Amino acid sequence: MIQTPHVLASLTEDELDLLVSTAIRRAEILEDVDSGLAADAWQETMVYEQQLAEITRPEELAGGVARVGAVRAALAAGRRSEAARLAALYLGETQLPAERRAAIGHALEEDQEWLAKRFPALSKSGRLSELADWRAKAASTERIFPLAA
Amino acid sequence: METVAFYSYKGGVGRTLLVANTAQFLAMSGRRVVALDLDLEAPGLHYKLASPEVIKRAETGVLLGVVDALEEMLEGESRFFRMEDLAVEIDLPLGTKGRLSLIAAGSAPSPVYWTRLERLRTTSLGGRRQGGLLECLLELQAEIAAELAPDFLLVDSRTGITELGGLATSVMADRVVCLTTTSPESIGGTIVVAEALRKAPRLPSQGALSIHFLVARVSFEAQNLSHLTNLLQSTGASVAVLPQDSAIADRERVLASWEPTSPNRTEDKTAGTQLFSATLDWIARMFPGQQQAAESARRRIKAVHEAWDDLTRTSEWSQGGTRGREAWPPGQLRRQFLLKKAKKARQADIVAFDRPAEDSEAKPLLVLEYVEHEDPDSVAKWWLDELRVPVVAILSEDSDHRIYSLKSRWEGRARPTERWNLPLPFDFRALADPADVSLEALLESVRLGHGDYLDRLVTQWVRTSAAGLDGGAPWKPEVAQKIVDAFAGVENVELAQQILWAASASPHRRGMWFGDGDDWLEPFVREDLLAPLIWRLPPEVSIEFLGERHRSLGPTGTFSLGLMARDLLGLHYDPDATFRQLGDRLLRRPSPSGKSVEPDRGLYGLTSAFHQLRISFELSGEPPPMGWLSEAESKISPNSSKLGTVISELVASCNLVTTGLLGNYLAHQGKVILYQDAIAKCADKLALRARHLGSVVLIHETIHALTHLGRDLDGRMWPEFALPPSDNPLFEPSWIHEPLAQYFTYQHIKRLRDPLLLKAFETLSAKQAPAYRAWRRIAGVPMEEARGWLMKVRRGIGTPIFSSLLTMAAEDDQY
Repeated sequence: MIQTPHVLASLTEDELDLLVSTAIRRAEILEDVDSGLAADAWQETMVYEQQLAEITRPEELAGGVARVGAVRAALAAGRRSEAARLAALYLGETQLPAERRAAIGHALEEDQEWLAKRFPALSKSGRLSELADWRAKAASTERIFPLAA
Repeated sequence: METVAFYSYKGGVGRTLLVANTAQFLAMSGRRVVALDLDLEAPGLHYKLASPEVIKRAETGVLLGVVDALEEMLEGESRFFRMEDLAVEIDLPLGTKGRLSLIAAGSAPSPVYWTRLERLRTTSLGGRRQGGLLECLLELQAEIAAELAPDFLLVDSRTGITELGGLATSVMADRVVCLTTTSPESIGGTIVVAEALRKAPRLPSQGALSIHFLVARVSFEAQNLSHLTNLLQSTGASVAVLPQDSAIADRERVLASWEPTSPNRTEDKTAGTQLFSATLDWIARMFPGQQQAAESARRRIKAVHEAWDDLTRTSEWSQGGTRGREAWPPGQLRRQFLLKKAKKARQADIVAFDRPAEDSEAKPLLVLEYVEHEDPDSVAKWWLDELRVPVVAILSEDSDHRIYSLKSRWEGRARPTERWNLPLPFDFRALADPADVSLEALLESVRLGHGDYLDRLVTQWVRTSAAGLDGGAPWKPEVAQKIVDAFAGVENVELAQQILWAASASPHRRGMWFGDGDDWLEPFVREDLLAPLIWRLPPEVSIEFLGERHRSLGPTGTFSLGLMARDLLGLHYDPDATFRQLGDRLLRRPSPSGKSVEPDRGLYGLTSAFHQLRISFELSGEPPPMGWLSEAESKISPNSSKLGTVISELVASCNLVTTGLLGNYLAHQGKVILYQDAIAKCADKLALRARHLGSVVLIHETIHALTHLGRDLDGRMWPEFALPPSDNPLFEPSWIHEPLAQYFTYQHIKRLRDPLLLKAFETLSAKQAPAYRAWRRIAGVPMEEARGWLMKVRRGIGTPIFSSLLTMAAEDDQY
């Protein structure tokens, strides 16, 4: 269950750690059984990881893990706009250790490679790599046509 | 590959139709085109472009399309559908360098489709690791580009505000065509959408989105059009206009489509021409290049479109309105149909079959092909020789139609016939050679009992006989006579009725006279065609028209009787005269109180007088009265079985009579009666056709009626000059009435120039009682003199010459 923001803000690091672990396990189980709810579970994971990143410093172990986890969870939830935004945010933090930066970059590359296998023609056309950027712009532009993540 | 999305804020503006037309035209102009249906909630592009077989696949749930591909992309790890499974090739005219493929939405409207669509909707909601609708649509677009490599991808987008519509227009497309009507809600919504599209982000590799407005269904009366176009132009987009097509209400007019047309279409030939041309113009402007191929495609589409129209139009315009026309049922027609024989095949632009085209036994009757850069005769020869198609129509770029038929080949070569218009179903029914519309062929069809060409033949009669009246066409009286004789020879009563209808129709109803201002032809047609035919056709039909049973024809009977009275007897037939005279006297009469009589009360009482003086007609199945037979003969009971015996004896003894046996005139009722049974038996005895004998009797008895009820130049009638009733035992043929009636009957039949009627009259006369044969003594007398005798005997004045001639006739007979 996704906590409402004011409740989320009141959770401690330990509580969030527990919630993240539970959410990850739930998402993995749902993914294993091909459930359509897996994306929602990953989105929940992303929220907890984001909050953990919020309350920890990038140079801390927990902070680094949370940041990488948030990006990975966003990608797993199919929320690529959000993943792109979070990646841009975290990579902008100068204290984030190099290995965490690499991990975030690797997650994004892995996702792109995975997508490229699923959409070979789109990848070959060169447009697949443009979609993240497009999504980020679309998210910040006033629009009338709805757009799923 | 350029992607063009067609979008409309509201439905029903003609978007899908425009996509189909644009795709077809571009492909026929030599381009490679893919048409993609993304209107998943209301798909219709396959109905506009695909063959009936493909539509059947959709209806039975086995046509793969966008919904299946997207679902697979969103759900599965591996792909099963390939582009060749999704893309349906659309047949184009042979030799076209272009190519057209359709990727339908799926198997709409089968239930399977809606189940899959619902699953797709559920799957595409929210985020998915496997990618969303955006990735899937762009993957589909990329696959189309890679595997089909079209010049143009035309997308039929969804109406309204939807994610799919947004992706199709803002991300997939290089150009967007926004269709709208002039309604405020459509314009307002379209402007908002266009502005949103202008601001929408593009992929880095894409250029700016080009937006074009197209205002459809614009009537001439649109008051606010300039305001609307200015409003649209203020968004920076180009604006074009398509006119209203009145036929859209009945069916959708498509440049090239399998969609059946409505059988009840009633527009005239010019309706839709403006929309057709405007659509082609717009497509050519939007997609310039390959000018020659585009022009050639335009000519072809236009020629085939007009031909389809010709073949399926169920009414045509004529002066005064529209009239019905038998056309080809759309189910019997197919467009761009490949016909094969052994290893050879050729594609016809239109094929007309003898029954519904999907019937396995259906045979082609008419093949139509548009030909450029090929010899029309050679193409026609191929169809005639290889496929043995009865009729071939070759259309060419100068709007020329050449009609060829199997029967009109000459020394193995195909040559065009005289026929210039496309044959319709009745041409195959009624003509031995459907391409032969010569006069002889049309007359033969009438002889065989077909009434399909009566209007045409009546018009031909007018053209060939009216030249002497400044008609303008060459005067060919022998041709005119041939037509009248063919009409008069008709035996079938129903066909005979149709002939009189055709001859009595006003020029405006037929619309085939010479042209405007030709009302003057109407009395000429009535006098020289209709009136003679009334007497020459089977008497059942004549009586119907003379008795004015068809009010819509107006006073045809009165006119014909008046003509006979005037031209033959020098009298007026005016049944209303007594009514008018009495009414006039009544209106002038002062009332006892000195005030004038109220007209309504007085005139009402005259209606009985009005009706008594009109000649009525009856075809009776009863035996004739025969009260005049002698007592001995009357022992033979006058019933039908003995009638034949009586007639045989009268024939043998040369004592046949007309009045009282074959027909009658009842003076007190003003009624002419024909006794059918007696006529049939008498005709049999005399080796004549009953219809000819019946016509002779009808003329004879009608003359009795007119000599009784006709008015002289002073307007006077002589009611005492009535035939004695024939049911009186003392009845004898009148030596005054009968010779005169016979004389005028002979004169009338001579004027009709009908040899069969003349033969019937003379054969009958030879076997008749002396009073009926006496006319021979006065046969050579001029009509004016005979009329003078008639005037005098009606008034009871002595006519010495006439009397002496009759006496001589009686004496001749004794010896």
